[in-house]
Amino acid sequence: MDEKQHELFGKMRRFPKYDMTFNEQQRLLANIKREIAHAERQKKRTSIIISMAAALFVLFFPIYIFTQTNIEFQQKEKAQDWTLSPTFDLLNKDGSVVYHNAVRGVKGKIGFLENGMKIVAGDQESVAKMFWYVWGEEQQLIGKTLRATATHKETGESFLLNETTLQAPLYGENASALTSFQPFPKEGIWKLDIHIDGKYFASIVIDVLPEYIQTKQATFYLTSDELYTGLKQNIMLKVDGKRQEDKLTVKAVYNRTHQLSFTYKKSAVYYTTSRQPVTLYEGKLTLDRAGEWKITVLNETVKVHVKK
Amino acid sequence: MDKKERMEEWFLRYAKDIKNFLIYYTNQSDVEDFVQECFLRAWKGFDRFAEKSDPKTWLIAIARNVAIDAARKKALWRYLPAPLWKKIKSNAPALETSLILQEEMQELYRAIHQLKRSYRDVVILRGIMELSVEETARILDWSETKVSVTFHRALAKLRTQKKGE
Repeated sequence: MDEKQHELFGKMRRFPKYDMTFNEQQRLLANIKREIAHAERQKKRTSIIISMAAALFVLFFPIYIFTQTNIEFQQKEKAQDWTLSPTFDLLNKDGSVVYHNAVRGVKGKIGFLENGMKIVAGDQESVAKMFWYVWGEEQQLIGKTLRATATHKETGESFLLNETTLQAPLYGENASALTSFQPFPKEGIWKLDIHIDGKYFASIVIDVLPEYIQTKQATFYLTSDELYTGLKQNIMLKVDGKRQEDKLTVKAVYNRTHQLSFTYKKSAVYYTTSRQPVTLYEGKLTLDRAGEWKITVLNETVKVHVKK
Repeated sequence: MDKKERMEEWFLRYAKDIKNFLIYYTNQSDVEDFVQECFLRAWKGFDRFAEKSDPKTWLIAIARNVAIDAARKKALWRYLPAPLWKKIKSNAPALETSLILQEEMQELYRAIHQLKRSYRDVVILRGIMELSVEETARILDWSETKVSVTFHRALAKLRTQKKGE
């Protein structure tokens, strides 16, 4: 540390320290005690409900056994259900809305925070920061392992999407986790089968978008099915590494004879969650014909199909 | 000592530090709700507190999460129509800068709040709160080397910011 920095350090130490008056302290402590007592009462109340539910269960178990054969058949049907899971609001403990319509999954059971973000095949970034929210009995959730496997509807291919430990709730749910998913290898409908503490818990069905248009080092934030003729909006182009160029040229060639070129301007440099630097450029990709195009960025070419 | 007595002792001992941290971290003078939330979360997560670790750094780490969650929630307000947002903003409590008397200090304070999050984290903990490298490392879950290096860079950044003015 040089002298100037020492001076700065010294100045920071002289920032006022806020004290707490005796009254303030007592009042806050009383508040906290009250809140804790309230939380404890609620816990007790849920455990009473659970024991009542257990009693009912014992009472009705014979009836359940009796009808079970039918139900089992129906449940098997349900496990093969490929309808997309809905999105719903995430509520806070007091019932207020934290995220509107942003959690996808099974309401009252489990969901992940989607918040308008698209999940794109082969893309690490869109699944790098995922929140799970789980509803249920806290003691059977917090500290337990959540394991989610994903199965592709079309090919039946499956893989381990995520394994994480559930933590205390953040909002109105009963357990949560911040984690990363493995990227989805293919576009299409995927079913996530979730097990908690080794037991099957729920399934969520989602739609994964086709891959971004990309070369080895550059990615357009545009999936191949979003590419239409006459596309007007600006498109972000992500290039690996910290690039010096303020402008990049993107060339698009149709049928070897017709060529367009677009200028992309540098807009930002940032670091991904895996601490790799990337440079962001912004520009247009307004193509005037439908069909097969070749797009070239930084001497790398990718073939795309442009819709009308 | 049972859980309740432990929490009470922690409160009497560390509430002041938590308050101080939250004032600087959230840049507002009324942080009572946050302090309350911090101790409530500590109560709920008490079983996860490893006996070996230091309650002070554990509590500050929780307070930091409380502040970050609050900021995230606040960020959602930006989607409100502008007139409504302005009204809310004007009601938002800002740190009474009169508390920081010297103009020079005010300037530094503003500069600190323009830093990126990792720099601000380390400046508030190491600089203003006067915590040790070890304590800061525990709160941020960083290595001690990372704390030292980041603090050094943050100081350098603050210097160049001042020069640039």
